[in-house]
Amino acid sequence: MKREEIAERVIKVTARELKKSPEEIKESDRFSYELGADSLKSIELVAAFEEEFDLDLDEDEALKVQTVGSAIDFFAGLLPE
Amino acid sequence: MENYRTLTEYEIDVLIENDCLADNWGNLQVVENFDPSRVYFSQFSGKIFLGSFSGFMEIDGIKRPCGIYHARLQNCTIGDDVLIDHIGSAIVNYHIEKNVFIENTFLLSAEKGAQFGNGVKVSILNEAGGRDVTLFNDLNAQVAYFQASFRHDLEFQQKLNSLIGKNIKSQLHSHGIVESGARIRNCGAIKNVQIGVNAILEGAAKLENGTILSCPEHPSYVGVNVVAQDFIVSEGAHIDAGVTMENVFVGQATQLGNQFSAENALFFANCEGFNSEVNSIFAGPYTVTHHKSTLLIASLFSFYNAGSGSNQSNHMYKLGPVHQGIFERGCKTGSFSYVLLESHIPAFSTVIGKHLTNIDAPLLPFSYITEERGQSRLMPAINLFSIGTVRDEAKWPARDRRKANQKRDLIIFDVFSPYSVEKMRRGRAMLLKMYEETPREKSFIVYGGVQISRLLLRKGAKYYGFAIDRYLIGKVISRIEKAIETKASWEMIIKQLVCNSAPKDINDWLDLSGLLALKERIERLMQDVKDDKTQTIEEFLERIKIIYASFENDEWAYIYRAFTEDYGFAPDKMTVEDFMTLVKKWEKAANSLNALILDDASKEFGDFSHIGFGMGFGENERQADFKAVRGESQTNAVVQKLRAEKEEIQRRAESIMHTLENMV
Repeated sequence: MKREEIAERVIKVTARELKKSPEEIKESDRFSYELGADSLKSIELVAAFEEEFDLDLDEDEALKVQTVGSAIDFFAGLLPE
Repeated sequence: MENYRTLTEYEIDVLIENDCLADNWGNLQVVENFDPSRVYFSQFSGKIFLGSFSGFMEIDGIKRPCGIYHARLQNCTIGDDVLIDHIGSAIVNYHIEKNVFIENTFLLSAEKGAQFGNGVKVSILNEAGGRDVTLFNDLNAQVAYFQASFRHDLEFQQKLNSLIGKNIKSQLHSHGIVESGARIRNCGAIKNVQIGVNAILEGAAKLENGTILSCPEHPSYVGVNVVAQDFIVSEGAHIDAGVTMENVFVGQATQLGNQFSAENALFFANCEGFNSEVNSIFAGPYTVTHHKSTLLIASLFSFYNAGSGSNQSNHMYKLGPVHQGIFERGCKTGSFSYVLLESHIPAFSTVIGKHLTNIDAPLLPFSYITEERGQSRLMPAINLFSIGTVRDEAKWPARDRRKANQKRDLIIFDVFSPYSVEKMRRGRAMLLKMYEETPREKSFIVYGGVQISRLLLRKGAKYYGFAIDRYLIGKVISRIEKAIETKASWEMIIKQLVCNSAPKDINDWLDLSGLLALKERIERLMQDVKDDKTQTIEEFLERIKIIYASFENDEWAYIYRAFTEDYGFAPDKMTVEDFMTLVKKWEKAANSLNALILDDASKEFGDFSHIGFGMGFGENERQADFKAVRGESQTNAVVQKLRAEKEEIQRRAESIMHTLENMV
């Protein structure tokens, strides 16, 4: 899967779960700061990504993802091209 | 048994010289070496027995001669070396044992037929009655639980009541007793109260119809302005500062103070009640409420913490205050949370916000129950990786303040046990089923009165899976590690994993206010009571102790069965390869939970935690101020323990794999 497609889906899921418009979301945005995801919302967000990409994420690795951009890179590394 | 004699003429003359009076000197009997010079300004009526008062007591740094001064006694027996001074009204119908100190107290009086709090019925969980618990001196959390909970079995309840009644009858006295070494000072009226060894009563305003059990290892304390009616207090309890209580049992090492008020309440080991109000509650061990605006009502708690302003309501203005609440072990309610009863809050869960729905979710332990725009939401399994849960696990056993030789309440402290793990197994199956049955378009499902996010159905099941794997495989790993020390072959090692007992319903466990037990054992005990095989309450208590002692074996039987069901082979039938696969699974589960807990803990040192630090100064000062007050993540003891645990997980996994590889 190309990075652009992954980015579009990450932003779509983020917007849906955090009730923002996709246009508001930048790759540099931190989920917990600029996008306002508290710890409970973050868990739902990870669950949403798992469902979107049909993955079972390693919790330790998922915790290291702090920004929208790093999430895109993270999934790009997991999903086949 | 003391040998008493009548007074000599000389002794009577001395007493009269000392401004003492008696309605009949012939009714006064004394021990052989009685010293009348130690009795001043006192009046005697009825039958009086006096010991020797040759000794001294040190009070407030002053050595004072034992004796009776400025007191009125009727029908009393006074032991050796007692000091009684300034009794406002009288001491009536009491046996005062040796070395007791009573000063500046208005009244100490016992009526014939008094039961001293024994037999008092406490209406818990339902203010209107229906779950009444009968108080008696040897009551513990488990017997209270039997009384309150198993109301479906009328015959059992009748038999149990009969055993309790027999015990109460056997303990009745025709007089009050103040046991040796007790100290009673500056108190108001004390009526029909038994006072135990070395108990301290200081400034209590009014005590009526009660027993204060006490022991030298852990004296009980009843302090300033306490008003208590119809009560029993256990060893090591500390009640102070304006507490008012009526129809109350106070368990060992429980602390009540700061104008706490309790009516129809049971408190068991290590509870704390300050500032708050409680009514009709069953407070199992480690129930804690500290704050002024908290009301706890009509509910069962244990290992519970009430945030300020916690509230429940049991009265819907229909048929009266009849609604009940169950807060399973380990729950917390956040500041100004509200729970509508009936509700059944799952174990180790946190309730935040106001919940106007009846919550019924016992199969989803370790949940977060929040509220969003008036809607109750449950997030399953989230508390599994709350740093607070980890702290609690270590905190409770470390804070067992009980010092009495006999620890009355039988407590299994384990957070992860067959009780909680079986709930997670059932919860996991239920969540996965709900996830499979819920279309993707739906954001939430409704279960047990709460909404659960569809996404969290699968996530919650996954987290439960981590905890289950960590527990089941971890317990087997521990046994294998032990066996490896002495056994040279895999065949010999797995023989240590055999399960010798196999109760029929190994998956059904109960929490009897701190005691985790197989339901089958409890049912068997109840049947034995009905069959008159348990003849006394003492025998019943011994049977409960046997159940407590059986926990380790029963736990292994549970693990054996659950392991077999979850992984497809029994522990004692698996190959080395099977086990090594499971070690990797355990490592992943344990590491995942550890990482989540560490992440939760790190939030306590994150940017949001620095708010308000370094006031008026720059960023460097803010960081330094925070570090000085709160420390650092790297040096925090709990965080360090978690990091060490992560290394330990890896070490154990590598060590056991290495050892077993050589056995293949």
